[in-house]
Amino acid sequence: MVKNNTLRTAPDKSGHFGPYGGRYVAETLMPLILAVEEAWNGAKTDQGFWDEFEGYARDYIGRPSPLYYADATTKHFTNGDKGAKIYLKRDELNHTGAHKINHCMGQILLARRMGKTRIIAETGAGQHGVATATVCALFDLPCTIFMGAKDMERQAPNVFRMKLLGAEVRTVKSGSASLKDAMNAALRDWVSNVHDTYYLIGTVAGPHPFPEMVRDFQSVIGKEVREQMMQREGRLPDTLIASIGGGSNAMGLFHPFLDDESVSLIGVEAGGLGVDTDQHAASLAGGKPGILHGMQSYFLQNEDG
Amino acid sequence: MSRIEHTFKALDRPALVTFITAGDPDYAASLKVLKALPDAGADIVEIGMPFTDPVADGPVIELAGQRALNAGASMGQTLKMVREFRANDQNTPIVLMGYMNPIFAYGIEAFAKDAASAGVDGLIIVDLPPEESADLQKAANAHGIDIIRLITPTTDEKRLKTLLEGASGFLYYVSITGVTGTVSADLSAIAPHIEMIKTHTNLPVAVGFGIKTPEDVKNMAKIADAVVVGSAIVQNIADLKNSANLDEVIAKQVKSLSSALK
Repeated sequence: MVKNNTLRTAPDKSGHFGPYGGRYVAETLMPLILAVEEAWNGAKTDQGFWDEFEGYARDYIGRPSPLYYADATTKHFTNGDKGAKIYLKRDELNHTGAHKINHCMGQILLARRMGKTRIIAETGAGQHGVATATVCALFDLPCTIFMGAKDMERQAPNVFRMKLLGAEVRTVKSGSASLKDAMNAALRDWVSNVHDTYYLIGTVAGPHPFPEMVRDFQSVIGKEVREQMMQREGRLPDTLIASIGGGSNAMGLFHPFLDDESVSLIGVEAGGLGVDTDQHAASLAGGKPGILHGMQSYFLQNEDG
Repeated sequence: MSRIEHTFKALDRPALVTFITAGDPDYAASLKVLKALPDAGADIVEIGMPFTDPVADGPVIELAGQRALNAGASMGQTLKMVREFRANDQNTPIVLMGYMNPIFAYGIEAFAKDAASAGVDGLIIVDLPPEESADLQKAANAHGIDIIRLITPTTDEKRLKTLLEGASGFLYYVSITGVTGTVSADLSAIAPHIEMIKTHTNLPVAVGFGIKTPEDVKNMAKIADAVVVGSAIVQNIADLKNSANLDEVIAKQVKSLSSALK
């Protein structure tokens, strides 16, 4: 049930979540982004599209992923009559070893529906790159992955996997040579190849409709948790905890629970040396609103942006 | 009449628009180059507002932004540079080009006010489509600043109508589907598109992206009301950044570009 005044109905027609989101992209890309939106609006209301997605989710990704009762962890954190029963949602057991495959499968089905013949993506640690390369191999589409030079060094096994799957991995050396710059490079490639290319964005980021789309594909996580908890415990969980980098797994887990007041949602960002230092990755806790990568959101930035 | 309008009315040939990044390679050298541009033949000056993540730009402009930022560039410094230029030049239009985040960080209303008082005439914000531009449009127009819209090879007639709403000053036609300073445009491919645009508007159409040599300028001038050269000048600044007579070398380059229009 969707309540009135619910956060679950966002974004609005122009792709805003309150002041956030939107479409801050070069005009060259706007017609294409409007075409992605039109295709997505058609797909999301088409039962045939979701049947196809669910078929691949079951037979290729291996969904539903198990909900595991972590007995030892539960005991470890139990102190007298204080503590909680801890369950782990095992999305790392998906094909390719992460939740990223959920939105990759959904988006590549959309790209095929749009008749796109080339896929590009950015990747940080490489999980999204591996998942993208995998769905591209499945559907025999050429695939280019942009990855920061520093990340390629740190995550060499994933670079190897992507190449093994037939993807071209392009080294991004500009800026800080990490995920942010990989996304810049992918956007530049997209501007240069608007006619045949689909940009398969790897998190709840980018211009509308990407955040909504990635959220809706990832929501399979939260929907399963809801069903599995009802089966196991006969009630909803008290708390959901998710790690937040870009936010795709957290949004996927949280979104089906946004209207449940009894369920508290906790996102955990990387603290580094502490949010009061300049060596952390907590953009929500330590950042401020800004505009980057096609959207208004929270970013870590200096006073000049 | 605005400076931009006056410039186009007064010229009986296409205008030359030159682009430099504010504060590249440093504030003093950049200001010297800026001051030399009008006499060398620049009819309109575009100044890039340095930004860390310029996704519509190629490596030449990106590196220029980094050089400037490393040398202490900021929005305040960019506006100061315009103010210092305006003190000696009341006629040459100045158009600031860049991305929305630094403006957002400065504050939209404060930016429009300070830009107008510094002597800015127009704004080209490459990641701000009309769908997101209401706030800046309102603030800029209230202070007499034109919002210059980008039209691209992917713009169809329907989209063009959206882009023309609220457009003023001139239109900036991006001649390639790509980033700045890379491939050159194919004149025969874009000529019919520009003709189509001109059936919908009386605003002058400037053509930019990938225009490097006097010969490119001459060719584009056949179909455009203004020709923009950016990366070729910025590359020259990069190559000669330590040279004491940087402004003279750039002036020479701009002279040869401008002579192609005469």
